[in-house]
Amino acid sequence: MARRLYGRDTGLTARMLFTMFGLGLIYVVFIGILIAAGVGAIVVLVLAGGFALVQLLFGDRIALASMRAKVTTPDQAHELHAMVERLCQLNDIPKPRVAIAPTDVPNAFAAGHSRKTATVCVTTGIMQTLPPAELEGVIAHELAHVVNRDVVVMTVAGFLATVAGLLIRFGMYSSMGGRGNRNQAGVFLVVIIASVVVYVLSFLLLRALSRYREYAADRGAAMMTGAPAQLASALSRISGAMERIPTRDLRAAEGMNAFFIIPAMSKGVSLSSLIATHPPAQKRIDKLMEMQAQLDANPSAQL
Amino acid sequence: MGLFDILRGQRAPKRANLDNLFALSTSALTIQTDLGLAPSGRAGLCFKAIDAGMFAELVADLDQLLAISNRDTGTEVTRHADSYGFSWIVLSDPDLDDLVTTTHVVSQTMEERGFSEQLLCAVFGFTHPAGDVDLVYGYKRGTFYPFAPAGDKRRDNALELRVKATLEREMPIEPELERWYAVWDPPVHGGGR
Repeated sequence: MARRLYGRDTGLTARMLFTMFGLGLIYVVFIGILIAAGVGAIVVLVLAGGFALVQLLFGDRIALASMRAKVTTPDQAHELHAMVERLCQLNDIPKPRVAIAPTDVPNAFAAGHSRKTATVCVTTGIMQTLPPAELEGVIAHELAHVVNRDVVVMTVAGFLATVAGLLIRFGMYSSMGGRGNRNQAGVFLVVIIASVVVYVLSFLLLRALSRYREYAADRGAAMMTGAPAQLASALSRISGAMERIPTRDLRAAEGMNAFFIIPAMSKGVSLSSLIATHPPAQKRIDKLMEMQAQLDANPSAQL
Repeated sequence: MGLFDILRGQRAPKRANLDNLFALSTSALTIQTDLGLAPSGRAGLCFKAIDAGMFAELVADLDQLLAISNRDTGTEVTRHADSYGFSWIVLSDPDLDDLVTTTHVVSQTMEERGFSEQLLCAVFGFTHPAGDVDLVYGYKRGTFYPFAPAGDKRRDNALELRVKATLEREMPIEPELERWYAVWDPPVHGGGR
């Protein structure tokens, strides 16, 4: 079976699986501590589960509404739809909904948990900034997020962090309001400390997972378009343009960072690479150009 | 896509399916007599060009290959680039069977060279008293679907559904209507285009 040489990155897969394994392990340990502590765990889990479910089911609508994005019909945005349709037909992907957000911030994101609600959203800014070939690379990146089910993966992974966060509050309220004896207070202290540790660790792992999913989507986009350099060029153009956009607009867009193609960062705020949702643009560009070099050297590699 | 593919965030590239292409030849009589569609004498293979020197080499080899088949069947070959960044190999031959055969030869050559994933669709031009009706073969699905442009980026859906109703017993017709992607201005109609 013929495959592109850049179709596999065993190291990336291993790192990603290790991260997910770490998340799962922490989850198991956490449940164990809960049971040992004898807390009303079921109540908390049901609450957290409900919250994650709401996020999963209504996340796309919330995301689109917060960007004031509108789902378009092919008549309203003919060129954009044609671009999405050809990529979908080429890769046998069901066509997602296509939305446009009226903002100058050049960005794009994917939303929706299922085939029916999957939405690819681009801003008017990105359509003005990028030439068609580069816009195609960006759309392929978002389509890769849809195909990889990243919204579901990240929501499920985030479920753990939500549980921990809820439990901190639950533990605090109960220990303050309860009439309990010293033994009970000690138990709550253990629960709170455990929750904090779990939360910090799961937070870091979540961010790492998010960055790995970005690399995976870049790779998916490169395979869809057959032109990694297009996306690399788009990324450098966007990351350059991002710095020149007025801060007010950027701040308004910050809540959406997790699903943006490049996060909008206000000037002067430097996030350490450990907690960023996206890898640095330069690293992504380097990886894409590596793939382009492999492709140029051997366009139809058999693996 | 399986759970493991989702977890690792990768997906095997979709390869072209050429098996059902010849269904067009076997259904030619129904298409022409029952539906009243006349072949325009042209077919176009649409594929995504990739940024690589070897791809140019492939296209040159195809030209050579087609020059040979040209002598046997009289099929004329031209190339065309569209505004969406896709490339076309356009075949002209009054005989529909020759068009289908040559389309298959070209597709297979691309597949053998490892460019299977680059193939988008093959469009066979037909005309109907009511306007152009093209039969589009989606390589990734291995199915045909009708495309009847009605001017100003609109489609004659009634005519398309009639084509589907008549042909679905004989040919693999794409069952999901949302996958009947438009191919505006395909270079498969003669005259001024």
